[in-house]
Amino acid sequence: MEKKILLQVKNLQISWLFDKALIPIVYGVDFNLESGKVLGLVGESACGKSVTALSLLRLLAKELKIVNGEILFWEHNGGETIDITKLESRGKDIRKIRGGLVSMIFQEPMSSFSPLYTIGYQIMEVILLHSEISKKEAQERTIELLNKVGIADARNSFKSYPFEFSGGMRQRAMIAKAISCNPSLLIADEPTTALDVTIQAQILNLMRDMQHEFGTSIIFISHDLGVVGQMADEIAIMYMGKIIERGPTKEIFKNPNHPYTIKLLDAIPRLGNLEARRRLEPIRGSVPGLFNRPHGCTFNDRCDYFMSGICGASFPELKEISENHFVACYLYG
Amino acid sequence: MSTLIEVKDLKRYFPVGRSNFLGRHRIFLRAVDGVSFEIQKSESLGLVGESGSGKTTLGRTIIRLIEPTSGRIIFKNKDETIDIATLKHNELRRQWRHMQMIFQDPYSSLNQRMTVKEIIGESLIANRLASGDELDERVKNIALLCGLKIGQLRRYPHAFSGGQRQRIAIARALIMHPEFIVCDEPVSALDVSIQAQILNLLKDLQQELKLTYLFIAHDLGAVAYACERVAVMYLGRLVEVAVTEKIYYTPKHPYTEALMSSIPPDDPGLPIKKTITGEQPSPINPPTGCPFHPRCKYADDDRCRTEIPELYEVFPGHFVSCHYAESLVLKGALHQEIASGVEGAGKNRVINDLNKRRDKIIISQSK
Repeated sequence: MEKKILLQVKNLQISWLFDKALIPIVYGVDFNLESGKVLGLVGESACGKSVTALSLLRLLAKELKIVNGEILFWEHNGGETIDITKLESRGKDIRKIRGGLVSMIFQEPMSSFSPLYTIGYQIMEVILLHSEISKKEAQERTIELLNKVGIADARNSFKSYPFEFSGGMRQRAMIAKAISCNPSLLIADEPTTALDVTIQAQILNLMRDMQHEFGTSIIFISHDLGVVGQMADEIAIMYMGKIIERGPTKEIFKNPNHPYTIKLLDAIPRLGNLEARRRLEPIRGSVPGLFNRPHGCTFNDRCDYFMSGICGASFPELKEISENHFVACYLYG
Repeated sequence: MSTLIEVKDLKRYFPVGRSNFLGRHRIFLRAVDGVSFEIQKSESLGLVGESGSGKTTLGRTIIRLIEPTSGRIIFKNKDETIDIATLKHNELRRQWRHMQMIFQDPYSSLNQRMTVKEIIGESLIANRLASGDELDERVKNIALLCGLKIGQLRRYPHAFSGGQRQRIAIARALIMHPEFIVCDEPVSALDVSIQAQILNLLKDLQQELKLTYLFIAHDLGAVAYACERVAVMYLGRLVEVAVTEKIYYTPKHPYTEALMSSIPPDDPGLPIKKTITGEQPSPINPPTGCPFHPRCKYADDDRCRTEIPELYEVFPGHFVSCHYAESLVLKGALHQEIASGVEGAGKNRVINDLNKRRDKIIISQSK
């Protein structure tokens, strides 16, 4: 199959305007996403994964500015290329993209629906905004969507308010809303973090089915490597606003190269050999604050393989060490 | 091994309203509905279940932060045997020295207006157990034990990260030299790398101080690592209690099987498992018979729908509440992995010798 690039992020830099100074939050992120693929963005809190995702839809708060870089989006039907960073963040053009070409699923399903309108109305709103069909048709389509995401008795659920839904059902409705306009790209920001394991498994299965059916590309953001491992074709691991390793999912799990990735995998309690119940290998220290970002490689103060004179100088570039597998570490030349 | 805590038929119902306008019948939410189990001295018992299953209520009721509706909580401390459920308040306060709690959210469980030293030492002062230099000494010792630095003791909680706050909370719980600690989701608010630090710390402290834990968590990985035995809770009742390996590898209750199948596998190459459908019913209006029968794929006769199964011992030390525990053949968390010859992700990971690479680079630099 021919590779079709859908999204290309080049040297994206986002800073926080704080007291007239610009504090870097995202520090030069590059990645490509092909049509129909799932990219997992993994990292600890405050590593910039959510900010990166929000910037793709220009939903950043006022204080956060894109200071550099390009977000190129290929519209395959029309063949047009849009640079999202150039669009007006409140303009007409970006609104066409939001919910239409690119849609988003948020972590907290309660706060992402308005409590004042019915679930059905809120899904219908998106459809009416992006396509020219009658209210009646939109309503039918909404009911069909609710059915598809596994909400029982969709016709009556159409008239329910968000508080009448449980967490899992709300997240299902959220997915229905997100796929209502057949987006080319779906951004899922910690979609299962607020849910129980059993419900999490249901939602992951649902997202996977939807992805197979519609061929949507997904950017899947999570702090949970296990969950991302199930969903993603490719994983990018972020640390302090930088991607430090990127590669195919299996490759990342079987042959991690960056010391941080290796440590992150070791820190997760595994069910493989309970009898041995070996000690977990934590990463020492904690993520430094935004105001004391280490010089050079941002991981150097927690790394066991620190090389003086090398790691403190400048941030290592992402290098391709095997096919499609990139690592930013001086250990790899 | 001797028993430290024995819980017998513990119930906690919360009144939530009346059935009709005149209020003939009160409606109750049965958060904990007849739970019995034992915790051995210096073991850690994991308590798992979905949210709303009553884990937290059970944990808090055992140390009477929440009053039980009925039931007994026998605490065997040295040579005394006390029923916590019937103690008067001043006696209870004395017993609280032996039982402490660590809460989930280290951002809200520490008083923002107190220094770390005041937070850790507060219970010593309140109980008039130490003052002056002795107080300082004891606070310092516990703080060091929990991985805090002496220089940090005069700071306020806002200056600490989540992991360090949880260390402060652990130090506060340990200062009274308790025997029993209820850990309510101690790591779920923390990042993965910090989680491992705190889990290791809890384990080290347990070995050093002979502590007994009730470890409440929804993260099945953390529980597998931290606990020797695990109790599975569903809708206010225990459905299965056994040694950790038994619960994870050879579960006997269909709900435990469902929980285990929902864990993402260690290896991303493995296929996604089929999991259960539906959601936990409301504890205000629980299903008749076995509480799990509406979601259970094995339930197909009237017995499951009408008769509540009791928790009984299928094998020595393995308690299950299912009518068909003996005849069902269930899969554990690792069934598929074992079948495909993979034993966890650690096995087939390429071991990358970073030290060698590092030495090579350093040598080439020095030339």
